[in-house]
Amino acid sequence: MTPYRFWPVLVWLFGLLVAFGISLMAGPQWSGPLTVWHALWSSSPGDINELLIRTTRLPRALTAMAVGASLGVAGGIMQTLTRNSLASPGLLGINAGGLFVVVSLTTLAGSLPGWVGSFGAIGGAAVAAAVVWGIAMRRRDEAGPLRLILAGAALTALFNAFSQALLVIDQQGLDSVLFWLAGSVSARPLAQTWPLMLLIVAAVLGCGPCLRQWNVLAAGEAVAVGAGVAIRRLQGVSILLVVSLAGAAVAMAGNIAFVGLIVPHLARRLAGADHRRWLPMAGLIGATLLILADVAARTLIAPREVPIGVMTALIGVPFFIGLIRREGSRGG
Amino acid sequence: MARISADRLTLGYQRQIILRELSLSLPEGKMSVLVGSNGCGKSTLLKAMARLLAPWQGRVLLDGKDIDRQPTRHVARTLSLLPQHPVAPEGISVRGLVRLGRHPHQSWLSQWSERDEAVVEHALALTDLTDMAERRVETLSGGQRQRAWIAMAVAQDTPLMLLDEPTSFLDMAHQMEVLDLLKRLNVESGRTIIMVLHDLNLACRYADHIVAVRNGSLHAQGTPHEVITREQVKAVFQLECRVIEDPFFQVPLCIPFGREAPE
Repeated sequence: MTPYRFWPVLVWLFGLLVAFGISLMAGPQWSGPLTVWHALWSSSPGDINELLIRTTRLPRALTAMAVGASLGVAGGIMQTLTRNSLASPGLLGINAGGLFVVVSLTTLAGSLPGWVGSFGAIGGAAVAAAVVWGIAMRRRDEAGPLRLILAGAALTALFNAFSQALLVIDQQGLDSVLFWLAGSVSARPLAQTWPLMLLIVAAVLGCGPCLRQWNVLAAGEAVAVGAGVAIRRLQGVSILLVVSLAGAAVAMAGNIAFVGLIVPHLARRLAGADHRRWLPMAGLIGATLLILADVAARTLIAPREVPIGVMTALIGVPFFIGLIRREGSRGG
Repeated sequence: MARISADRLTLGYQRQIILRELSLSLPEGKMSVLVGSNGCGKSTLLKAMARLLAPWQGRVLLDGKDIDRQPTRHVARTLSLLPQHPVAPEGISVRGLVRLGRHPHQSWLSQWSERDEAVVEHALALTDLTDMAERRVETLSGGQRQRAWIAMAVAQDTPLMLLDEPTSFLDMAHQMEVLDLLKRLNVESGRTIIMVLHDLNLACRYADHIVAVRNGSLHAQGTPHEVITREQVKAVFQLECRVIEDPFFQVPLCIPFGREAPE
């Protein structure tokens, strides 16, 4: 076996640490590295800056990291599962389903405690994915992935139509769900998000046994069956992992598009076709990208904030187009 | 002695029935070729034998046991499959593709052994791809690409190989190249090869055993001389032809007439 080259992973791991550090320093008033260090390791209760770092910036950086990694990995799994490089977690109706539940709950009950929203979102995401999966995979043939994409698009449109109808009827609800619509990693204390983070860690670890099977699946369903992959089980487990990862991401940060689509492409360009190499890379890149996007989001027009979904698009799109162009000229 | 057989197999897609109560045993250690007109069910039969398609009724037996009741990884150590028009993962190298064939032999504990490495190298050498092992599959020509897929199936190291139209979309020279390679695998390592081919004359040249499928049932089977006759070609393909003896290889040679029959 060709030796596993660790250095690209190490480089990105280092990049992630740097980004994490910057995120703790960044704000309307930047803190120095020393302040950050003190805030993390030796708490002096009176210091307002250190308090800010511990209670606001740290949860925020952790959320961005977890959400970015989840979306990167979940997007990668979806692209392998559907053999479609334009697939993303949103395709399963996960975002739309989560959002619809949040909007419905808000309309029915007024403002919600954070954890109800979180669990509602993840529940809606799971139900949407289950329905899409049920429609697409009921029959055992090769058109499953295509039906998955079509059913996902249809269900997304349906849920979004419901959400919009509810929001038109109940205008006040709009403010309280704007957070989910535009996506945000702010203002979620760790006390609320730690179960979701645990879910993400569990799902990421759960990817381990699937990596080699995904390598075979990437050559097509028929080839995978021929090589002895238990295809229905692998597909089921993969969907479960995607729902856990992307569902938790939606529950934590709302609708952050684009990361799940582009990050797997970057990872494959950098690390090659082997899932054991590029999928961890997708997690690292996603985490780094979202942390940096969040830093930019809250510093560019401080003290106001740009929605993070806007930032991921602003950073991601030119990067992506550049890569496609370079790839094109190399091929031609 | 047959390792793989179909036992009163009824197959279909959705509501459409394709194959009705077909029973068939294929000889071990031989090259068998399924022929028939488009839509007659020959590819469907091959898919069922490769467990890509669950039978409506009946069973596929591998070594006497229902193939759907055996662990798929276990089956994959006996039976490999090259489907029609496979598409390689983006960016994968030839060696990377061939390695995928080792999947059924690996487990959590033994990830990649020296034996795996040796089998992959052997498969590359056999298919004449050693020099191209690091190239990306998408940069290869059609014939080379098909050889790479066959190398993956070879690396799976199974006594039985199923191939669904392995020569389609290849020019004449590449068709011969692929079939010569399969013949070699059959003769040198005694593998049983079962494939679907469209070209009757290539089937006659390379097959030990020909199975003619017509309208979802078995029309005839046997040696090329037994199966490829003027009457049977007319029945199976609705095609006027004459069958003469190939002057070089002593197999039947079918000359299709189509509309412009001589005389």
